[in-house]
Amino acid sequence: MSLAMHVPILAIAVPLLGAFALPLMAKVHHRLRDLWALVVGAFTVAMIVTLAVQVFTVGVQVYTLGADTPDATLGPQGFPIRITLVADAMGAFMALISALLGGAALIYALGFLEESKGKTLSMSLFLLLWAGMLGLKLTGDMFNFFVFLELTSVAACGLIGYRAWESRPPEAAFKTLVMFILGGLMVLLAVAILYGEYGALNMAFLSAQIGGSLLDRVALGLLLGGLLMKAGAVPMHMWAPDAYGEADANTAIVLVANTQAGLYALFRVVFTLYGGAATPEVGYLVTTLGALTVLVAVLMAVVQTNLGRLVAYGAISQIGYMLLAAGVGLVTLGVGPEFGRVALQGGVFHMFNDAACIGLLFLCVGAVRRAAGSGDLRSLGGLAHTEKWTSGFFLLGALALAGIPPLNGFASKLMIYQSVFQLSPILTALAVLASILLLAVFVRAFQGAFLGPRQSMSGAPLSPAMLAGMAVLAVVVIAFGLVPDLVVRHLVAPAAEALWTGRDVYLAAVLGG
Amino acid sequence: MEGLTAALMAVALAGLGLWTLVRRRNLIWKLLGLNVASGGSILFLVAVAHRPHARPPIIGLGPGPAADPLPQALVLTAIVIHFATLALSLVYVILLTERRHTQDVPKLERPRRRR
Repeated sequence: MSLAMHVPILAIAVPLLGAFALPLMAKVHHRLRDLWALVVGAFTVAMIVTLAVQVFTVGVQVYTLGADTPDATLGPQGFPIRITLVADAMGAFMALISALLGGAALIYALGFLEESKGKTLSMSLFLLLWAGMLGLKLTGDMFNFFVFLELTSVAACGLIGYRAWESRPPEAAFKTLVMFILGGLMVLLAVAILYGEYGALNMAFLSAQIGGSLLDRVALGLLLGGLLMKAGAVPMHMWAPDAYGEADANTAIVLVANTQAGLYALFRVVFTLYGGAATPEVGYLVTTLGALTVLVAVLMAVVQTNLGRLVAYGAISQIGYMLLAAGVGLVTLGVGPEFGRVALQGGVFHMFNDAACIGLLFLCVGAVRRAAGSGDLRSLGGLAHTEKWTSGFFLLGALALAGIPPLNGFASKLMIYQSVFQLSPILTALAVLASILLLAVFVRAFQGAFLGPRQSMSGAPLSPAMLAGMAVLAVVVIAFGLVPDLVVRHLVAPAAEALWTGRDVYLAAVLGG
Repeated sequence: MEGLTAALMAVALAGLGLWTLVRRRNLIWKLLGLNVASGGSILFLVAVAHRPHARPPIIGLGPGPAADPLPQALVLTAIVIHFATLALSLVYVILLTERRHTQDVPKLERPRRRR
C-alpha cells in the first residue's frame, strides 16, 4: 500500500480537508494561512499530474473506496456495490485543466484579495470548489456525480456572492444558485429514474444496461437540461454574465473551470453513459445549441460597456464552440467518419485553450479593476501607459481567443472549422463570423481600456503574485500555440479517443473482462 | 402499484413546485416553489425504492424480500444538500432585502435597465 495507489482519492480529499483547515490556520496567522493554501494547492496539482501521467502512460485508473484493494470494484455477486473513482484520459485531461486554472487562481488570489475583505473565506471556498470539480471529473458513480455537482454549486455561489457588502454580487449569486439548484434537481430525478430502472448507480454498469427505453430517454433529457444549465449554454445562460461579471477575477477563472466541469459531465453522460444507445438526434440538438450559444453570446458581447461582462460573454461563446464540436462528434458517433473524430479533438483541445485564454483575460480584468478602480469601458482609457504587463497579457489573451495564428486558439478553432464544415458549411460560416465579431469586440475593448491619453488613476499597483498568476496562463497560451501537434498527439488525442471509442475500455476497466 | 402512484404524485409535486418558481414574482415564493420541487424529487427517489410486501432491510428479521436500503441513504444525503442550498439562497434573499428593500423580482430588475 503505497501513497501512489491512493492518488485519485487524495486529489479530492486534500483540497477538501485543506478548505476546512484553512480558517483555523488563519486564526494563528495570515502568513501561515497563505503558506497552507500554497502547500495544499501544490499537493493537489502534484496529485493531478501524477494521476494524469498514470492514465496517459498505463491506462484507465480505477479506485474503489472501502475495498481491500483499489481495483476490487465488484461485490461478491459480481455486482458493483461500492463507490468507485474512475480516471480515464478525458477525466485526467479535465483534471489537468482544473490544475492549471486552480493553480493560477490560487497564486493570483494571494496578491489580489484584500485581508479586510474576506480573504480567508474566499480562499477556503475556492479550495472547496476545486475539490468538488475534481470529484465530478473523477467519480464513476451517478449519485456522487450529483453530490459533487451540488458541492460545486454551493461553493461557486458562495464565491460569487461573498462580497456581501455590495448590492450586486448577492443578486448574481442568488440567480446563479436558483439555476444550479434547478439543474441539480433535474440530475437527481434522472439518477432516481436510472436507479429505479436498473437498481445500480455505477456509471459503467448503467452504461452496459441502458438500451434506449422511454425512461432512459426521459432521464437523458433531464441530465442534458440540468448539465446544460450548469455549463451556461444558450438558452440557459442568463446567470453566467452576472456571475462572471460580479465575481472577483480569481473566482471568475475558477468559475470557467466549473463551467467546463459541467460541460465535461455532459460529455461523460452522452458519450459514456449513453454511448451504447446514442442517436444522432441528440447530436443535432447539441450542435444547434452550440451554434446558438456562439452566435447569441458574441452578439451580446458587442453591446457590453463593462469589461468584466464583455469577457463573460466571450467566455460563454467559447462554450458554444465546444458544444458545436462535441455535437458533430455525437452525430457521427458509432458511424465513424474521420471528421467526427477531428471535431471531437478540436472541441477537447479548445477546452484547454479556452481555459488558458479566457482565464488570462479575466485575470487582466481584475488587474484593470485594481489599477483603475472600475471596469467601465466608458470611463477607462490610457492604461497601457502604466500597466504594460496587463495590456500585453490582455492583447495576447484576446488574440488567442479570437483564433489568430500562431496562438493556441487558432490551432483548436481550425480543427473545429475543418470538421464542422463536413457536416454543414453553414455552421462553419457562422462560427468563423462569430470569431471575427469577437476579434472586433476585443479590439474595441483593448482600445477603450488601454489606449488613448493617460488618465489619473485611483487604484493600487499590481502585486507580484498577480503578475505570476497571469504569467502562468500566458506561457500556456504561447506554448500550446507553438507546438499544437505535440499537444494534440500526447494529450488531446487520447482524451478525445476516450470519448470517441473509449467507452468499451472504460466499461472493461470497471466491470472487468 | 403503490410505488407507481407515489412516483406519479412525486412528479406532480415537483411540477407544482416548478410552476410556483416560474409564476411567482416574490423571491421567498420562488424559493418555496424550489423547495417543494426538491421535496418532489426526494419523494420520487423514495417511491422508486418501493417493493411490495418487503420487510425492513435488517439482518435477522427473517426470510422474504427486503426493502432496498440504498435509496434511503441517498435521500438523507439529498435532503442535507437541499437544506444547504436553500439556506444559502435565503441568506442572499436577506442581503437583497436589506440592500434593495424589496423581494419583488420586477422591482429588483428595474434599476439595472436604467443603468
